[in-house]
Amino acid sequence: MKKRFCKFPYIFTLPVTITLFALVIYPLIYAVFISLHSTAMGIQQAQFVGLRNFIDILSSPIFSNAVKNTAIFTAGTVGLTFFLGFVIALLLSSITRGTDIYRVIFILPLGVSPVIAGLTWGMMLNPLFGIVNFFLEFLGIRGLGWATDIKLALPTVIMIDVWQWTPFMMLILYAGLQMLPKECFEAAMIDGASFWQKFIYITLPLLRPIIVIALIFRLMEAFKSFDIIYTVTKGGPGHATETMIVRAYLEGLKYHKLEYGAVIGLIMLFITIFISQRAVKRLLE
Amino acid sequence: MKRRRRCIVFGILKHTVLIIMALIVLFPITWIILQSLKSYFDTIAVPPKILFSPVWKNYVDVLSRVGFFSSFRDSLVVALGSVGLALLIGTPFSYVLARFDFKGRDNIAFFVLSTRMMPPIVVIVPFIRIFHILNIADTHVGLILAHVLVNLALVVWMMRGFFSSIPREIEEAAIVDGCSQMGAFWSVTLPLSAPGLVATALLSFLFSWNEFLFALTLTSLKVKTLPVYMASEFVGYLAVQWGPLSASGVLAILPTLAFIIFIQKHLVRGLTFGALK
Repeated sequence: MKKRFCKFPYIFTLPVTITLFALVIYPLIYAVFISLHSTAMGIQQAQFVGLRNFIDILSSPIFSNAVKNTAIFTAGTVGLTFFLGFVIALLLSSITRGTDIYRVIFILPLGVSPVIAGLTWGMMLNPLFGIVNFFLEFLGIRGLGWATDIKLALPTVIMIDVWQWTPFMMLILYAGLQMLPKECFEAAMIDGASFWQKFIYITLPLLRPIIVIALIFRLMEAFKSFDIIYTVTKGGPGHATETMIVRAYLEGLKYHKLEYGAVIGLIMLFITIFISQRAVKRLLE
Repeated sequence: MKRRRRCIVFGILKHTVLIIMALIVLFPITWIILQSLKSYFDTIAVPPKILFSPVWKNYVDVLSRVGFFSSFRDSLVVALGSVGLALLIGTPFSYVLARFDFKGRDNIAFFVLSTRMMPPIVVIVPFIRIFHILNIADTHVGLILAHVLVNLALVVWMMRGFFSSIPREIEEAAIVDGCSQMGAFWSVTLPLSAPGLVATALLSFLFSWNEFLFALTLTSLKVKTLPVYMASEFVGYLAVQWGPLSASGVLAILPTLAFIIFIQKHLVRGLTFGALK
């Protein structure tokens, strides 16, 4: 009996270990290998070049632009989805009727494939016949170029991403709000606390762990978000919406500069590990 | 009395804001459905037509395309295959994580979670190369393996939560009655966590069904999942075929929208990988 208990975990653990080794560890080692070589002559005749590829990428203005765009995109979508999701969650938890219907409506974007969300919004934001510009004309706003405008393109893809992911924030924060102890709010009400006082001194501190989890998950997703940007702008116009992952895709797969793709991928991985080491481990425990 | 009136005014205000938000959420979904029922010139009419005579032409068009059917099938095969495989290896593993205390358990669990955080692009170039050598480039098998990577963390962390919530005593009772540990897992714990298993399977299916980057890069001609098909098929050199594009979009999101409503109770747990229940 005792012996079987000991073997049991390992038999069940082995397939996952093998899978992760084959699908993660080995490819990562391979990516490091590629990143240190020049594959201009084909991958069989790869030549060791040390850190030159890293230097090439890190010193290129196009890559700095991609880093800047990634920062704007990530900050924009995380911030906005958090704000809107929080507002909706607070409203939902303060009403008594229709909560279930609203909830079902608000989670729908999570079921829409990002590619289809991108294509649909692209259609709606078409500068010539899109319905959004048609509505905006009533407000006196004319001829916005949206994804085709070099200044508006990045905000446009952020907006589409916000549409897709606000439900995620809303769901988690709403679930968090439901878990808060009612007694605190009753006590505060008896003491005559205002809405803002209750929000700042009770809701926010109690909700903190959940807020942090929601933000981290959203941050990680946004950082490697690809689908919407690719379907709406493919990184353009010019380099206006090129984020790091789009740049890595273009370098590695479109221009067949495998080593540059690997380098950007690894840089993204370092950033992810850096963030997750600091945050995730401590918080999910 | 005054307080009560203020309450009602606030109530109306809250509902107004919520309804506006709900309309913004619903609008793109409604619009793609409307576009899918329009004739070509109606789809690009200026001003956009909200009232029009609906036609089924786009659906007939899409359903008669060989490409759409084979993409639908590819998506289905890849999603079912990767979900099946991820559940097959991930469920027993998550059971071990939930029930046994062994050295390095938490580290392994976090490593599994971190594979989900990993930017997929970093393994794509190696994948292409390895798949080429293994002769599984542009096949269902290759993409299924990549999607197992997408879904394994979800399966492991979600199921771990479900298994932890089943009291150990029930299993112990079965073992006292003569069940082996394996038997107790198989005939007691697993059936009890069936709802969790279904929710996990559906959510993984959804992730695989919608996954784009791996599908775009690891498959090309022989295998083409729906997102890849949609992103390329209807966007021509001169014009986009908005009608058929919308129709295939509607057909592609119907199952996932149904899933998301069906598993809404488990969504919070799923989306936070079991961190919240």
